[in-house]
Amino acid sequence: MTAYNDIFEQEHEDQKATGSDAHLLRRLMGYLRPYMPQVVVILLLLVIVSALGIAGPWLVKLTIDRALTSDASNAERLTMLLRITGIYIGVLVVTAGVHYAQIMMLQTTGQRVMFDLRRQLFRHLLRQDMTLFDRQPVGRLMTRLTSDIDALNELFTSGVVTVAMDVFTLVFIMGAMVWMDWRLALLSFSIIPCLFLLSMVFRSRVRRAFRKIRVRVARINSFLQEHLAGISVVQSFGQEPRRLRRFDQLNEDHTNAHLETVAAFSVFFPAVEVLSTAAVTLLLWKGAGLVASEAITLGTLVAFVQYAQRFYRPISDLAEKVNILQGAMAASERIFELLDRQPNIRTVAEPKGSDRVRGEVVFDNVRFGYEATSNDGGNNDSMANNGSDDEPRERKIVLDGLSFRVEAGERIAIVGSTGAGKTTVISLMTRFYDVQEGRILVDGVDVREWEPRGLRHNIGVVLQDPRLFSGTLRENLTLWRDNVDKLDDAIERVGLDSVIAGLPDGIDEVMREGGSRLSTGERQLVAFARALAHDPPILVLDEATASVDSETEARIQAAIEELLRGRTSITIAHRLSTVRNADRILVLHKGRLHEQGTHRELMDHDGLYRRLVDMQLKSASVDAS
Amino acid sequence: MRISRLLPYLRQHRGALLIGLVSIVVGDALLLTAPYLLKQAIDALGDNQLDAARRAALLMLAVTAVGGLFKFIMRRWMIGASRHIERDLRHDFTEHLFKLSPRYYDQHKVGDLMALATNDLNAIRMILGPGIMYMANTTITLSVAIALMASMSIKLTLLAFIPLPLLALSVQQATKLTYRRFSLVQSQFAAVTSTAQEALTGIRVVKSYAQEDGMGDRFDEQSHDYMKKNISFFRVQATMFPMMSMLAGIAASSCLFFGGRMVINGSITVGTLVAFLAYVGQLTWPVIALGWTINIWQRGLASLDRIDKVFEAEPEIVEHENPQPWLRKGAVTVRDLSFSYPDAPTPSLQEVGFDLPAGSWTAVVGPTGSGKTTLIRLLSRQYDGYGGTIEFDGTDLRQIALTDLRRGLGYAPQDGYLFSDTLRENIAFGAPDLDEARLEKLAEVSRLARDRARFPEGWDTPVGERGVTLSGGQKQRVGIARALAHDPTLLLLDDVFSSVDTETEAELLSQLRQAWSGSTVVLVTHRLLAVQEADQILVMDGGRLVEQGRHADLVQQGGLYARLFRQQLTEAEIHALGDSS
Repeated sequence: MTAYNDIFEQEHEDQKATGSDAHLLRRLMGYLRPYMPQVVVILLLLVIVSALGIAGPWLVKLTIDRALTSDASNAERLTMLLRITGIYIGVLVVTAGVHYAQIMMLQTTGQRVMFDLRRQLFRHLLRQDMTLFDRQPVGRLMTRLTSDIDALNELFTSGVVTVAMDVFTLVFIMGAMVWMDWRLALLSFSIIPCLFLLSMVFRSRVRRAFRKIRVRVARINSFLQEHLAGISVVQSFGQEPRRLRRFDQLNEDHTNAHLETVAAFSVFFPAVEVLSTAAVTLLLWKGAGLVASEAITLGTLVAFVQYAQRFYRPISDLAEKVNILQGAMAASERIFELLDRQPNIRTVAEPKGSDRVRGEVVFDNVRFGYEATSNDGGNNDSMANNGSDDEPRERKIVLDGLSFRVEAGERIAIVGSTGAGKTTVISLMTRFYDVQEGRILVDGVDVREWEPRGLRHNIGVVLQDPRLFSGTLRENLTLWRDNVDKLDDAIERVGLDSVIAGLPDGIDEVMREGGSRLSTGERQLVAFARALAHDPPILVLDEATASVDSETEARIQAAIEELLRGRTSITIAHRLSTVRNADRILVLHKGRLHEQGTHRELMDHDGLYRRLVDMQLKSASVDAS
Repeated sequence: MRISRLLPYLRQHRGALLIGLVSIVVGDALLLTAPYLLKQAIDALGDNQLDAARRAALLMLAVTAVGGLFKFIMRRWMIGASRHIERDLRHDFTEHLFKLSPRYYDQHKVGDLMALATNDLNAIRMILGPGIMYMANTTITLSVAIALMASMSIKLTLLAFIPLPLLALSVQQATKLTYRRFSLVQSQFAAVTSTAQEALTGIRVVKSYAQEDGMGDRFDEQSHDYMKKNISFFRVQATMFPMMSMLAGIAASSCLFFGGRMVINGSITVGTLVAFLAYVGQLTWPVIALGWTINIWQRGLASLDRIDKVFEAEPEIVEHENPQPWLRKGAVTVRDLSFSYPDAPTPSLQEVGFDLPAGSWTAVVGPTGSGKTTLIRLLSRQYDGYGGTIEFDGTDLRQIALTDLRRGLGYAPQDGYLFSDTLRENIAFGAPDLDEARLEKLAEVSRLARDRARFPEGWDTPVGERGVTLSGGQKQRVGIARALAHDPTLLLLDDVFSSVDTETEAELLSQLRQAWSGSTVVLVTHRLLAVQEADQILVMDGGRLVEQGRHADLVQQGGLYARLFRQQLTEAEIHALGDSS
């Protein structure tokens, strides 16, 4: 049962109490400020719609009193009837028009606000440093961008604004009643607390049940997801019947949660009807006496009966709004928490611009460790419990005083075992993270003094598993930049042209997410061409370890050669050929530079590298014998 | 006939459904007498008969109370039954999904199947619950109300009803439009989601190329489109609700006008007019519901079609009509084995043939995409429809009884695919009655035992969805323990050491060889250094078996194996030497 941690956690998130609702609300209202004129008009339209909404029973009363039961002549009474009906239809048409305008304006404004918020949040997310993405699962960030923002929309459209509508309607009905006869009005009002109480009890039960349903649907979903995606495991172990029994429990729980809502609904609707009828009965009981003593007219009594039946909707709505408000508050809290997060990677006051660098790179006594990710149930989300990421965390040191210097135009290969810190070198150079001690200089300037994007324009990165975005191949190569004039040249130089020739739509072929239509090797060529087209003075390459077929292997070798020509390059090498062709080899071990030099120098030095190559030669000679 | 699929379920819950239907009839009939009693009360007042009026009012309350009780029963039983039917349908649907073979899942997205199991099953339930309920409710309310109204005044009944069909029609059209536009909203929502998801998962690339703004613009474009689709969706809503109230209002006003005229010339009483107004009010909802119900039916039937298609899919892997027992010695013979995945341009396996002697240990190596995993899948009979033959101890694989096969096979997939249970349950996945001693032994062999201290609740620690709380290596080792738990004759390990360090891998392999010496082991791997001891190495390239033999022989041949092996020495030896320095 303890299995679906994240879902329980999600449930917990929903229930999270909001301490400073007023503050949140004020902040939310800030997003409405650009749309103030619209908001004012919407409220105005609301008042009109609610006022017109009470016309019906009033006109019925007029009809009965002035046209039907009056002592005037038949002709006069008919004229009166015609006039009232005319007014009635006029009111109906105007109401419909105003109501339409009101809904449209409301929803349009709501959508605009959400668009603004979504735009802000997404751009804010992209600006964050990598620690956020290391720590927060993408799925959770997605929830902020999508359903949490939608919850806010609901707060605005069906929350705040319709609460106003319900209140207006209620006030107008009560006003009309008091206007007609205060005794009967007070009598009618006695039903309001009962209706409100009934609605509250009902809503809270339904809400509880709905929350259960949501959690249980999620459980069914993750069960199915897990078991269908892993169907071959389930079937290979012959476990279908046993897993199905497990599913039955989840299914049964889900049904039971639904039955709770069924129970609530089946009591609620008849109860409302009975309550309304009780009000009508009271009115008739008391009103009958008043009509008989001619204190009120028959029309007034009929109008009262009709108004009493209209209490229900706004009251029940109001009861529901309380919940929407709570849900939206929790959502807004989560969104604002994210919006308040400042990237750890900060730009200095006067950053170095985006000039093209010569390509000199220096690592000066660099110390760095990633924040430890705990093994405490897969949930190391800190967003829920802190607003700042600056608090000290346990760090696992990866680079421990690393120093080296790369001259402009030099070709460097980094070798070292897994965990020696090779990939971290890339992440620090491109300033995905900041060093904890020491410094990294590009062209003699500390990377922390560069404008991060100017810096990254200068450093091309090719990662091990090249990621393709959905879009055309061209878009994947240019990454939506317009002025990429070296594209054709780049394609030709890495040999991607032959791949493109094989695609039905050529360079405009639409790639699916993950680029599944291209093989691993071809995807690497795309990443090479992408880097080459952007022609950065510094290139960082993380060679792929996956072995591909012999022919592709040869093409990749040739492409890498083209890619590295004429620029500073730092390659995390997995291939012997890359190492041999390098101007200098850095041997990394346990976060430090173990030794460095050209192939020749290292061979003379008689260290780690020498022993490695000797051994390599030995095994090669074994092969030959 | 698609609806016939539902008949057994309806039959099973016929009692509840019947009670619900009877309650609708009784409840509606009672509730509809209320306006009639209101008329009596008003008319009595007009005649100054105070007591009669009060009596009618009380009677109205009583009738509503009893009617309400029946409405309660109706909802409780009918909707309740529909939920139970939904549950049963979902059970049967899942059971069927469990029977379908991996090939089906290659061609259908799990996400789509899940949508069927939730959204579409719910759409079908909507027919059975609200669909039937509102349909019955509307029919009964309309017929009873019309009868009662006609008994008071036929002419006024006709006049009052003029706008109502229009109302039903407009609701039905609007609901349809709503649904269509909402689908557009949803699909645009998916586009917004996937754009954001791509950007966030590919954040390193986005940042490396300083494309935050480019991505932001892309997202804005999608999100702007989403906004526009939403607004167009709300346009329908904004038209529908005011229109509904207007049409209902027009029905009331036409009733008021024509009824008023009849009151003036004395053909009906004021009470009758008030009762008519009340009836028109009471009918508004069932008429609106009618339009809505039509769509429930349409949507539900469409869902039923989709569900039907899945139910009609036949499992590929089924018991042979003449199943043979498996001798479980462990000798495997493969001849001319060829296989292609559907829609794949090139075959994944081409004329592969080899022998695995009982109790032998074989490594399968080769570049990515060379057909190693496919081979394991065919050996574990996840796919039929291959060319050539696979025989276990002389019996054709497809003829071996499925229970025998599954009891004798140990299969560990690439990523150790775990389920969100405890460690214990995951290890005992294929052997539910695993005892403690055996669990400990499995943990020892799979080198899990030494990690035990790190699991807060020992073997009863939940592993999270797909084992997220475990490291990659731990997941793979649990996968190995799971494959061993039921003492397999043939153990198929698909690249299960990729996240396990080389030292542990070597220990694990030697443990395995000792403890399971009787089993035939096939190990797919990328790490050639660990398989030098194998009885046999199969080297795959492009779906073909290109080299075959022992390590020393293959190195001497100087072919693909020798090349891959040399390549891997580079890294491994830096590692080894670095540690020793």
